Amino acid sequence: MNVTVEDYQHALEGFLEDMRRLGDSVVSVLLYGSLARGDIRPGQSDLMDAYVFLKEEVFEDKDDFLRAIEVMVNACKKLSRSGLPFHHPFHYYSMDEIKRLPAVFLPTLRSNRSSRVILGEDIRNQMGASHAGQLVACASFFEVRRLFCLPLSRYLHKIPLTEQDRGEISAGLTYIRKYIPLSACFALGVHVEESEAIAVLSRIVDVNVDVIEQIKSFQRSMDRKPDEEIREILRKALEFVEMLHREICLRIQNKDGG
Amino acid sequence: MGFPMVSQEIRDFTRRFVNQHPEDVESILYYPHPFARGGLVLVFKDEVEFLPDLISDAYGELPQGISLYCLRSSELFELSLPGLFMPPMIINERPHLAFCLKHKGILLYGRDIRNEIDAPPNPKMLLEAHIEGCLLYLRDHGILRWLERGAYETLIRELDAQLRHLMATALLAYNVWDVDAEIVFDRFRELYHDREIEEIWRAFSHLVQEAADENSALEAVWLFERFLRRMRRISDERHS
Repeated sequence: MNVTVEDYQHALEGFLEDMRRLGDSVVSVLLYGSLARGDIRPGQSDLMDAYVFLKEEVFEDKDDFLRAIEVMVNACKKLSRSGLPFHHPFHYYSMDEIKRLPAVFLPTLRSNRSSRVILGEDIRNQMGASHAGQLVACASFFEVRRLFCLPLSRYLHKIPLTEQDRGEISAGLTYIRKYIPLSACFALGVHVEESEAIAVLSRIVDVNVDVIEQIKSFQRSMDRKPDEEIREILRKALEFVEMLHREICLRIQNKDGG
Repeated sequence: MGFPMVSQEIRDFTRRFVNQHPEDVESILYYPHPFARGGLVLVFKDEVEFLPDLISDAYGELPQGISLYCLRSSELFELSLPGLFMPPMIINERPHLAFCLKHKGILLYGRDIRNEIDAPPNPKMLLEAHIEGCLLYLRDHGILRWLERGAYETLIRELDAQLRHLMATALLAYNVWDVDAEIVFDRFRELYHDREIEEIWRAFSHLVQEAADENSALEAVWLFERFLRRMRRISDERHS
């Protein structure tokens, strides 16, 4: 299927139409990601990066709540049928949960550059994260490294790489590119939006962040690359993660007096 | 959770790994976990420069479902971090990890580091973080997705597991960590005495016994949301 930017716009309009069916229950719908920034990559950008904020009372009344769920599930079914990448449904929150948003994404959600209100009120200045959420965000680098980066080590010496291996390496490289700079900034105490994380990181640590751009460019033609080159970019990516990890650990140990 | 047995598979893995890297490994521990299949902690000497080359084979040879933590001896603090709450994609082992390692961990090789592991510094916050993980990930990756796909049985089973896991996280505030999914509600009831949670639990348990269909799945979602809201209030009351 030849996917175009117009297909995304069409899906967005359909989604908005569905959200209007929530009537008074919906307070705001916030878009983030490539659709909000206007840099959609047809066939690759994901639908539907959005937060739906519902009135608190919806969660207090069973009939109202189930009606809202039905509308949102129907919206998901339509998005699934659109033929566009739809890896995960949108988020939904009650308004009394607005200060419990994920701290690591909060600067992105609040930013005019990275998010867009598509329905209802602009509530971005009311958004917040709890203290627990902030602690989790600051420590998330370690778990992202453990769960998504270190397991890629298995491919450093594997010959040959299967199609499945290549798929897993590509997914892992995407994780490194998208979440390592952001979570590293939070681990170092700097709260930034996703799009600024690499630039900020290059200013606060002595680590070469060019590898992120190299990964991005490599991934565009990864299916045509020989195994050797894939292992090479993987090694560079893991070296980057490990250097950051050493730097973060060092700073934590210095702060705690060893 | 009884005292753990270490399988021959894990012992063989440990032996092979130590033989391959005798100069670099400082310690290897096995731990059981009440909500996961348990795992191994490989502790390396601080002088080790680049871990991925050393653990490259380990990931390929690891017994199915066993978690792996690889760190240097000066990085043991990582074992007490809160981890990531991303249900239903990932079971966050970390809230119970330090306790399991300290009290039920088995030293398979090298230096005994169990006394050097600290308990999580603020267990009350773990419940708040767990609830927030459910708001962010379980609603979209779980609830909406399962309903959209008609995966009603999965939805009820997974929400049931999550209710139990949330109660286990809440029990950490009382320093109670040695519970499994079967006994968690009884321990929770003894310590929290919360009527609303008990009522939701009974209704949910009834649903689990029935054949899953759209109606029972929607009922499960409603009960789960009520449970989350009540747990949130409990968490807030404990903070205030």
